[in-house]
Amino acid sequence: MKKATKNTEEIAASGITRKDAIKKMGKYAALTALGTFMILDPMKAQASSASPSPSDGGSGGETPPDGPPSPPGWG
Amino acid sequence: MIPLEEKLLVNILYRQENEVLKGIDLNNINFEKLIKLASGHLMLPALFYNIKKKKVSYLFPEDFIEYIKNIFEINKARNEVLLSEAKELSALLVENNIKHLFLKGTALLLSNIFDDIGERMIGDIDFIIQHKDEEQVKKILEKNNYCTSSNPVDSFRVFKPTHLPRMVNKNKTIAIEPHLEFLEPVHRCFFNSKELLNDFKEEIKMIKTPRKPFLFDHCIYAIQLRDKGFFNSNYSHRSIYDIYKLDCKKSLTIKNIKKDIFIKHFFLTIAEFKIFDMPISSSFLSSYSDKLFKFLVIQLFKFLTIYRKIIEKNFILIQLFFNSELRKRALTKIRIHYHHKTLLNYVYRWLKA
Repeated sequence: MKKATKNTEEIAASGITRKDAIKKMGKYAALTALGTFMILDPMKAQASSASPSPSDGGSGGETPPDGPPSPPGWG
Repeated sequence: MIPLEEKLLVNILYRQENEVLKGIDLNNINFEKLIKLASGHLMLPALFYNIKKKKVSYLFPEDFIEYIKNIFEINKARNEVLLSEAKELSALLVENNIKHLFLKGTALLLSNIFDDIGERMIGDIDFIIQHKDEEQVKKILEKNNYCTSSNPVDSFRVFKPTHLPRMVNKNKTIAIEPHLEFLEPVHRCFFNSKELLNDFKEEIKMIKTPRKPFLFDHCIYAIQLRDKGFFNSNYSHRSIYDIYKLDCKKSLTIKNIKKDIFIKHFFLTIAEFKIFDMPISSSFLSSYSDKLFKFLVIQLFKFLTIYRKIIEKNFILIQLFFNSELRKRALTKIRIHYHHKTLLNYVYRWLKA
């Protein structure tokens, strides 16, 4: 119950829900591999990776299970 | 069988405008899959750049183009910051008489191999220093507000690590990775870095990068050895694009490619994309000897990996007797992981007493 109240407060404070945020970014953002966001904004990506994102299939991986292999790290 | 979306990605990146739809029915393309594929290979900015360059944006939905355009612009802005921070870092190292060379993505960007700096996605600034400068570089970077997220204990290392821990500066955007070596210890015997080490003998210079043929070899060896492309035939479109853009005519001769099994394997893995116009398919006899050689190399790697682990573990065990900091950390680990096991708990208390 407490948790639900906290969530509502968070939504009210930022003025946007997770669903709305994805809608605003477009459907393609939800399909983009986390690796791309990690490079573009490592700080925000780290913060958001605490909860499974729609694109990582909930497994905490970089790409969805049916997606391509995560790119090797030749920076 | 190459998926249609991958075929389209390859056509856009490497073929002429009139060949973009070669062998593809646009109605069968799933643009969501294309986003998954291109972003998984960190190729969204390059995809946008090539769509724009070849003037084929009319083939794609508007929101698709809008989305990848945003990614490209963010990446371009980030790479501009990366270049300026690389220059600042280079100035700092030169000021302290540290010879260094930029590597990987940063080196490619500094070598101007791309038409636009927004094309390449780069994680951090990689540069290599000489072993003798390791401690000095650590001090200089710490003094200039660079810090690591991990706190490694000082201990004797049997093999030099490939790089020092990744460092970040709260006043800067891009993390840095100071390298001591090009590849992991077990792979070093296969990679000839002598030519590059000669560069360190030259005069100290700002913004120095290895020559293109070296970047070409390093890119292929990294994907074939460190990323295990040689063992599981994986490939990365970002590396293929780097190789394409490096355009090493001298390195890209069939003679050169055939004499090096790792380079040959890389080109055989991506042969189905028909990006590089090279007939490298081999005869039955040579393919048999290649397979045998590959088998032997894999066995050698397995042996070297086990051998390295045994040596490193034994050295750490020996150091527990002399290095109190390392011993303290080991004891904490035992306490955390085995707190419920009476015997280990007893050993822990006994060792700590």
